[in-house]
Amino acid sequence: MAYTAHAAAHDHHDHKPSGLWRWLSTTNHKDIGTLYLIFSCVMFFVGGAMAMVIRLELFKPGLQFVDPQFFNSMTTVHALAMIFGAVMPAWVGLANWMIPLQVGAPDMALPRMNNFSFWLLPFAFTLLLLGFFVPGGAPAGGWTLYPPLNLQGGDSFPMTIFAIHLMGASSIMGAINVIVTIMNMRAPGMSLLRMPLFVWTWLITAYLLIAVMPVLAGAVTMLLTDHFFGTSFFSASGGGDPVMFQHIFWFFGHPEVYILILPAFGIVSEVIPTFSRKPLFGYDAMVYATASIAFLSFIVWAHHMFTVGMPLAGELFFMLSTMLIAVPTGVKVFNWCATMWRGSLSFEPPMLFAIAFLFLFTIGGFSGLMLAVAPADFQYQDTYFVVAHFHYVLVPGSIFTIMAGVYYWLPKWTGHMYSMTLGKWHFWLSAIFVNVLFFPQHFLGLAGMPRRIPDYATQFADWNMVSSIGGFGFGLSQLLFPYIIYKCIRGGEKATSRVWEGARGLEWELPSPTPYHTWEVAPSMALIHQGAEHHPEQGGD
Amino acid sequence: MDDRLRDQQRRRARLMAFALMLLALAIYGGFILMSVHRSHG
Repeated sequence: MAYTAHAAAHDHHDHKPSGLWRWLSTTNHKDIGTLYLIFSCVMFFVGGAMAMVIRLELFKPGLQFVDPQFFNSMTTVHALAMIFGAVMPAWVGLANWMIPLQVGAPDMALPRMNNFSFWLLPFAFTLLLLGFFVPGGAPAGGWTLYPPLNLQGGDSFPMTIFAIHLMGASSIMGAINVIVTIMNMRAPGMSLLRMPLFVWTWLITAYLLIAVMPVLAGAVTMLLTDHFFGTSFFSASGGGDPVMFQHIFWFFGHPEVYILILPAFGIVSEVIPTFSRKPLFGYDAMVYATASIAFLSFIVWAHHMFTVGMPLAGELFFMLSTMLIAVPTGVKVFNWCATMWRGSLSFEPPMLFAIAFLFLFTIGGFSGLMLAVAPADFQYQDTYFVVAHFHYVLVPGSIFTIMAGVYYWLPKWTGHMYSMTLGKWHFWLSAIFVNVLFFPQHFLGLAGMPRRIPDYATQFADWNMVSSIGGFGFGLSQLLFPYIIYKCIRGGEKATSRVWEGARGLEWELPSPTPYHTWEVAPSMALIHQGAEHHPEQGGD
Repeated sequence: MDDRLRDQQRRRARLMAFALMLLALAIYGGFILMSVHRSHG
């Protein structure tokens, strides 16, 4: 085993605190990573329960179960919970767990700030969800919080704004921690272009977060002052401009989409080479493509608002810049395919989720290209086609890769292998039902069904029923995920340190489960090279 | 050797974190200021 006895002895002299206090006060990156992942899982099921309410109501035309106001709250809070509560914390959790292990650092650079940024989140989401119990109900104007509709909310309005500020502060602190850890705490010899792709994609994501989360915070602060302090940033009657909110919001919102997806590219770039037993094809190109996508994400925002009316030159610019994103994204997709080409492939759950990502994210990308065409977008705007598009990007895109990442590193974290059979069941049920759920929504959108409505014309009934059946199937099959993790934590076949035959990288040089403290003695140059260049034919352990 | 290296790394990290925090605050304030001018808010 490459992790030396000296280093192991160094790790074991520290004791691990126990009980509730351990989790409240912990500054250990593995503990905080675990907290983020548990929080994300809880929010995934909270947001998922809201999705079930939405699909239940839409199972048949007519109003069945909930009133329209509550339905609108469901769509709004489902989105906020999934984006800010499930996907983003999951990425931060994976970053916390893996970045120090992958760059040879003993912990994140600012461990106390790390603890603080996590513990802001439960307060933020309690505040958001308490909105359901105050007069006027939870926010119902959509996750984009457009004024003037959103300013007409009830007592939950300031609670939502404060919750968003807390989430934003948490994200910015998390991002700062990631950047300063990667830029300063790398082991000697771990040059930037030797870093694993997951670290690279997270570094770029963190810069995006710092650039755009303050923009969202600024936008919601102005909403707050418009509502309570008599300003007119977005009120036309006072000299303000509601469309300006949309510009500011989407200047945040579009890079946010890449915040949700770039770490997914990193995970796929780790998983596919491992299970193809080949090095990643075009490592440098992958890094530059990620950076290009991040740059382009800042100059495409108005494609979300073609229909507000803008000069033709503006529409052309945003249409063409949006289409340009297909180039670096295409580089990535072809590189992943080239990595698999003539590889010795095996199909364990992480690889299955990564391959599903490749197919289904590409479908989401293609419908994105359709939406980028300005004249066509006038037809698609605010229809279920848009709902289908972004769910293809976020569910088989972000969520599937989070699952791929968890299934990939779980044996490293727990020291046990999980049930491959159950993992494959989880994959196949998810992959089938996600398509039954979202593919028909393309048809509904093209036929003209608007989004965010609790009732619809009878011509949309059939595909809505199919979509709801897919939704219930997908929701139920996700219960397997925590069960598999729980079983894996409790026991199972002992995991080796390398776990997967084709795995490469510093984290696989550590024993499984990873000790509480790692890399207190920085890994040697030889170990870094060995980790980066391990080939299965050289043997694992 | 390792302790000295880690201390040095942490010092640089704190400085960089402070600069990034200032950058985030500047973006926050900058967007609000820009909106004040744009909307006569």
